[in-house]
Amino acid sequence: MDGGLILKRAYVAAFFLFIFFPLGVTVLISLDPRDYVFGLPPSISFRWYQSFIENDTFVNGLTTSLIVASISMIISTSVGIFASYSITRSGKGFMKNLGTYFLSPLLVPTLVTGIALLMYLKQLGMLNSLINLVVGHTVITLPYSVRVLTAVFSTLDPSIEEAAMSLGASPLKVFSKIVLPMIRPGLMAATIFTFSESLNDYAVSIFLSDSNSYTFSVALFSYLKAVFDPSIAVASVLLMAITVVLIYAIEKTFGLDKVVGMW
Amino acid sequence: MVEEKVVVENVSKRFGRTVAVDGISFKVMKGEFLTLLGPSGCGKTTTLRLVAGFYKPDKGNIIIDGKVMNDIPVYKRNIGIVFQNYALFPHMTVFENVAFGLRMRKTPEDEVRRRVKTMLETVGLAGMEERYPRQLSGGQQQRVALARALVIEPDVLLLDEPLSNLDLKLRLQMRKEIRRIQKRLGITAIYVTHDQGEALSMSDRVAVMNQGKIIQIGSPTEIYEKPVDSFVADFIGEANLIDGRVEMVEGERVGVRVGDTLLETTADHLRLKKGDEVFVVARPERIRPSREGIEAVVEDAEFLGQVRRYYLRLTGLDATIKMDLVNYVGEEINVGQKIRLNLGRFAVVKKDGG
Ligand SMILES: Nc1ncnc2c1ncn2[C@@H]1O[C@H](COP(=O)(O)OP(=O)(O)OP(=O)(O)O)[C@@H](O)[C@H]1O
Ligand SMILES: [Mg+2]
Repeated sequence: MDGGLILKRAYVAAFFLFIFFPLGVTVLISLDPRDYVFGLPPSISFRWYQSFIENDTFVNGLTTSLIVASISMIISTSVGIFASYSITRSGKGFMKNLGTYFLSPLLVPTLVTGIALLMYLKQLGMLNSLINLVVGHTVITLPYSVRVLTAVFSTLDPSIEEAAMSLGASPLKVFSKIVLPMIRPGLMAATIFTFSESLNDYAVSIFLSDSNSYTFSVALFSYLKAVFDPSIAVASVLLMAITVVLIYAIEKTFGLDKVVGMW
Repeated sequence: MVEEKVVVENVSKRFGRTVAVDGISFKVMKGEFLTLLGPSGCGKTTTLRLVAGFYKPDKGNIIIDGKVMNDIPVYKRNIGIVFQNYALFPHMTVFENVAFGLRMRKTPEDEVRRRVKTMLETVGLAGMEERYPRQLSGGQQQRVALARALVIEPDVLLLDEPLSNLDLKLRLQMRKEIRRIQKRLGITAIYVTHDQGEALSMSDRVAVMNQGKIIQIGSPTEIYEKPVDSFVADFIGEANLIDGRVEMVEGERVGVRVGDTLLETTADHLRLKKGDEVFVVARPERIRPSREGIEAVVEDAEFLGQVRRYYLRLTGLDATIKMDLVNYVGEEINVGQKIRLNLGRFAVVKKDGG
């Protein structure tokens, strides 16, 4: 074997170690039977998983987060598809500028967005915190889906759509039979981004949560303020698991193999 | 009787301040192969897209099969288009690509199967049904694009520089192929190119365009032998444009003075008068050394493989012309030498675009 190849493999291995080592440590900590976090666990136990499940705050928070993330993901992606398509397919002027408008939440610190939303929604008399959370999360995740999807649409060759049209496909048919299948990889990226962005958010959630509905991140932080025990690690492991399951599910729905094979 | 398949009637199209197409008119007969030829930016693609329906004309009419099409969207016209970059659907197999147009027309599945199969055989792609576009060479992709456009039996086939992404050898082969298939199916075609070789070798008629207008339309021989102005003369083939003045007009026969030589030719299509300032269009490959005729000094010589090219300074005229000799076996010609020239068959065009 030549030296270059060994070096390359070592580099890749080091890279993976760097990325996955902290995750591995977290998994280990979550399996620690002790009440505190120090060094390697002396034995393996599921005690903290038990206590996590029995903690209503965690379970409520996680449920709310999953609901909010799913709904805002669906809204952001579907609005994002049409917005991005119009933005990239219209030459100039109003629609082009709309792109900047859609991205503007990225320029404002989420903390500011959170405060602004809180005051605005109060003014409107919207008191249902679950709905407010969905609204807030849609606002902060929409830029991600628009950003990803405009990038995807701009790589599409418009003459492919024109070819479809010349073959008798109405604009709607062109979109469903040609455009949508071609942007599947981007659509997948957009859904994953928006979902995990929502799941990760704290700054907006903290303002829009109340005792009825609060997100997982809010529950975790308030717990962490009081105690630091391995149940935090359990929470992290769960978040990881959710992400993996999500990617797997999306892969099944959109067909990653086809998507990768296409290009 | 020959049917008029496509009629473009006094059509104009502008983009902002650019006039891309400026009041052009032409007809394409059923089964005819018409080429739009012209330099970059002269409005060829715009004209094609107007016929296709991607643009609406600002003025004038697009008529297909006797029906005004101006307000009919692309997908309701029965048109086949072949794009320069093929524009195949990357997520569909060759079969699905070709079947797409038929499926949009709700053709029964067994008929789809049969027609796609026949069409793939016609373009020489039998057995490739299950491949994806990315698994095909450029030439094969172009054939798929052709099959996809033809299988719907379009009223007119539009091709926009379909060969420009292929290498030279394949380009020459595909010229013949496209022409063969077009003739065999009796399809009406409008072909866009800026390659005059392509235009001359494939077309029934060529429309030479410049700055949004059609300058001349005619058979390849016509536009080569009888250019209407210096633009066409210069754009089609190689040409020497030599200053001259009409000295005699007798019916079709015209006498043109070049320096102190009087040259005679026929120019029935120009309505020349005595005293007109003209260009004599002399093709380099038709000029020969001769005992009499225009006098010139050999300024330079180049060896271009089969061809020997000489640069000749015309005596008494402020002009250098090119002469190409193929398999020349006459007396040796040296730089600095004085020779006389026979211009061969030549054309005359009026100055200032006439
Ligand atoms: N969509 C458009 N928007 C604005 N200007 C355009 C558009 N399409 C064409 N033009 C302009 O119209 C003129 C004609 O363009 P067109 O594409 O028809 O030329 P062409 O003959 O096809 O050239 P080429 O050989 O380079 O393809 C050009 O000046 C071009 O810049
Ligand atoms: Mg063009």
